[in-house]
Amino acid sequence: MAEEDDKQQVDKHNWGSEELSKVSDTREDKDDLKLNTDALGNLFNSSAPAPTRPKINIKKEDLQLIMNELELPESTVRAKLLETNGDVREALRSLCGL
Amino acid sequence: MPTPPGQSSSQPLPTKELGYFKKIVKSYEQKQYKTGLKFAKQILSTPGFTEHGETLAMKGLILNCMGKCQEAQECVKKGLKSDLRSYVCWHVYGLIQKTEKKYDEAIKAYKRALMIEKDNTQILRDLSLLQIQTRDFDGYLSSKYELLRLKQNQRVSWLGYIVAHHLLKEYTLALGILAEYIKNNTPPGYDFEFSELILYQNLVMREAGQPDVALQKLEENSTHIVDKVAYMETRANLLMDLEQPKQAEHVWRSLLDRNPECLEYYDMLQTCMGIKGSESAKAQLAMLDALAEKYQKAAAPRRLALYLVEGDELRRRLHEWMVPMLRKGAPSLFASLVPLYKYPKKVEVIESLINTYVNRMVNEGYDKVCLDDQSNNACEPPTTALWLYVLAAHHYDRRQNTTLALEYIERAIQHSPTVVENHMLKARIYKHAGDYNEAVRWMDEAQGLDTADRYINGKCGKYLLRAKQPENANKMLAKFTREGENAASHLTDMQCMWYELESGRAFRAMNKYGEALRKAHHIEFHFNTWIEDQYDFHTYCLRKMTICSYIRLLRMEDRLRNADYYYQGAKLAIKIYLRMVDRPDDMNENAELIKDGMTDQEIKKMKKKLKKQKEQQEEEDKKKKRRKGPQINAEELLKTEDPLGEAAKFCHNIHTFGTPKVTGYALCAEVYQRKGKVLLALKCLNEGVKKDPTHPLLHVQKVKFLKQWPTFELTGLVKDTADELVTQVYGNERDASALNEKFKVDHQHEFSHRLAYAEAENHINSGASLTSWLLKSAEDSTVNGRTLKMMIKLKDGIAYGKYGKWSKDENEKLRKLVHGLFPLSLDFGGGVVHKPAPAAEATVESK
Repeated sequence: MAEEDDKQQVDKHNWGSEELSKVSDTREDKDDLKLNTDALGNLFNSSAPAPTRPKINIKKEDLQLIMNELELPESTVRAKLLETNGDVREALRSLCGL
Repeated sequence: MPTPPGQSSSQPLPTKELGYFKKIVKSYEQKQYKTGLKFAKQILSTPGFTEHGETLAMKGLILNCMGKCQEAQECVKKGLKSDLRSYVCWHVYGLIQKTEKKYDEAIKAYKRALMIEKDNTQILRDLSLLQIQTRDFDGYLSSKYELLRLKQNQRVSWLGYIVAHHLLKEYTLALGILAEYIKNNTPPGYDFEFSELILYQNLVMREAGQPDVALQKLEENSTHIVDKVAYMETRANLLMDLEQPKQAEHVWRSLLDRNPECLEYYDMLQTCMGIKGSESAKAQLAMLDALAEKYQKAAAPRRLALYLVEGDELRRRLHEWMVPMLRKGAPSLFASLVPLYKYPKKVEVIESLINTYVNRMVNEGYDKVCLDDQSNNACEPPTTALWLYVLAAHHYDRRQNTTLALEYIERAIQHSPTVVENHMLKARIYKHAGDYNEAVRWMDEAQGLDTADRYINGKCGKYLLRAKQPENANKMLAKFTREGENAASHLTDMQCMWYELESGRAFRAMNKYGEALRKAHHIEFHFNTWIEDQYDFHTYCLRKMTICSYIRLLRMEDRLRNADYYYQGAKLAIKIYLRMVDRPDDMNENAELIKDGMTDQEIKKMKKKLKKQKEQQEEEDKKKKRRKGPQINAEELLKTEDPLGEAAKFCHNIHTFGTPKVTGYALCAEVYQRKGKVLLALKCLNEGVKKDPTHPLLHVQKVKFLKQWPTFELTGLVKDTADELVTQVYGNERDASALNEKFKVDHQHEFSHRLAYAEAENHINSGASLTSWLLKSAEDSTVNGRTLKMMIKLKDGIAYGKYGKWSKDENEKLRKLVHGLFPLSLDFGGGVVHKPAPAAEATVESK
């Protein structure tokens, strides 16, 4: 009897957990798509997987300078330097809100 | 042809063992972990396969799912070492790193696995999830490209590929693929998922800057869109983007037909009609009146109109607004009036109306009076008087007239002693007056009237925390938390932020800075959890096609720490870290127990006693040991070697996401200035100046920084940028004293600005004696904003040393002075005195 009560208690508090576990469920997805097979070929021809961007040279000391002055992670600084085409002055000003 | 697990190994298994291995994988997928471990044991006990890499990896994976993380880690690492050329080992290693939140490591491992097994969709899927989680959009796109190539007839492959383009702002590609998908998969009838997809297509079009195409597509697909409100709102917004306000107005009006209480619609309607802004108040009023006429039962148009009028007109409208609500007994009446309290003239109107009603109640008798002359009601229902007194109490509480507020709430309680709201309001009045103990007493009374109401229970807990009674608060809150568990840890599990914040503040007020910091770190922990929690939605939302919501989720997570709770928690932490630097002795919570006059022996005795207490506490904590939740130790937090660095971690999140609070920037500027991070300090000052250039707390930091400015040695690029920022923040002013003196003159009638001047002056010139000037300021009735809150700030600031040296006499002078202004404030020696004190205490204790 006592055990049963215990169980009910737990259920009452955990009613949402079953629903939640469904969210992270990784079941195989349905293959239910109607598709014009040519379409995909056309798409892949027209869109390269990785859009080619002009190569930008980022100097290590520029990265270091901004990372140190503004206490930012490398990824953020790198992204900003890419945005300014490697112009360190512009990157620093922009990150300072100028 | 993909290699199945078990045959990918450089340690191939014989048939029998291979059969076991397949069973392990199957058990894992079906979450039958114990069975899985049994089969793993079978293989690992076979001679020659005791170090079988893939089996060890699978065993580790299963152990990890069972919560045995430590063991799992070791197992997986051992597995990887024995079979470096197996994709399974690398994949599992990545999975384990992922659960440890080492995302970069996990991504590297997945990529190694894919180098061995190029087209494994499961690994690609796991990789893409981490890429979107870490916002590596380029990587996400290439993984989604591979997935689409491999699984062309799966819906999620397509959607993922589209979303990847969208996030990279490759709108043309995203829209092209979407169009192709829609062309081939338009359902014949009702279909919620398709409806969501159409709305998503529309979102992309709008973001691509194509409102005309978006509108056209929206109309074409209107029959498919299930969410009619979203359809109409999108349409109205698009029409506005396309500068067709007449048509848009029409749509907003039909939306109002559906929901006349939505404030946003009224706002949009004004924009469309070109009557936004205070100069068009007349036209706005006409519009609202017409709508009020049309929607007889709607409150919104009537309430919004109140904020537009003044004088007699306000009086007339307030009368029409208030009387029905008083009759109905709407506790929200006062809340609807709050926006009017910004304007002293309007407050007078409210006050005179309330007084008129009260007088009529008293003179004519509350069972005979009729507040509404034109109405057919012969007389008011008996509850009108009750709600009128409640309103009056609210009003006088707002006006800081504690005496009258208490008088009215007493009348209300006399009228109906069992109404919960009455006691709550009484508690609130005492809280505002500064007597937190008395406030608790009445909130407890309110709580006792309805013990099944969690809201009032929470309120009571909060008031107990304000009164520095965290243990009683936990007892109170335990009525609604999980049985057999500590209320505090349960509320932390439930990510209950108000509780973390209030108890953190309570501990700070009790000089338990370690505990207070712990609570602040809990808040940080919750925010981290929410960022991690989005992981599951990367698959879920694509599967469920709720992509508009998914995009909104991603963007919300990116700015999550913008939330006010984060700011409040960070503020609590940063201030304690600054105190650690300024007043390290404060961190020893027992310091004040050891007084000047004590003998060595007494001190020794005291220390012994404290040690014993601590040991007992630790013993208890051990008993209550819990596995989940944040494991943050209060004492460890206090032992940090680098308080400024710890503070800067919180600052980083405040200023990079952009806070609406100018005080947030002031706080960050202080930390960075002390850390010698000139550019960051200047950035924060500059952002603060943009928000509110004359804010007192920002001013203090401006002066402090300017004083230190000549001592910074900067060169090159950093110097140029800093110079530019200094000019933005200070114009041509470079003298800290002059800046401060000008501030004093400009804002001499504001108490908070005077405090700021004094703090800054004390910083520039520590010999300056501002004591008598501050005391005079506190007394001077021509100075505005001399609230209890500011007086407490002054008192705390004096204790901190912000305002120079204050003698005992001077402190006493201030105490007496403020006590005269706020006789109920406990901080200045006031408060309600109960003659048989123990009885009053007992009611709180016993519950």
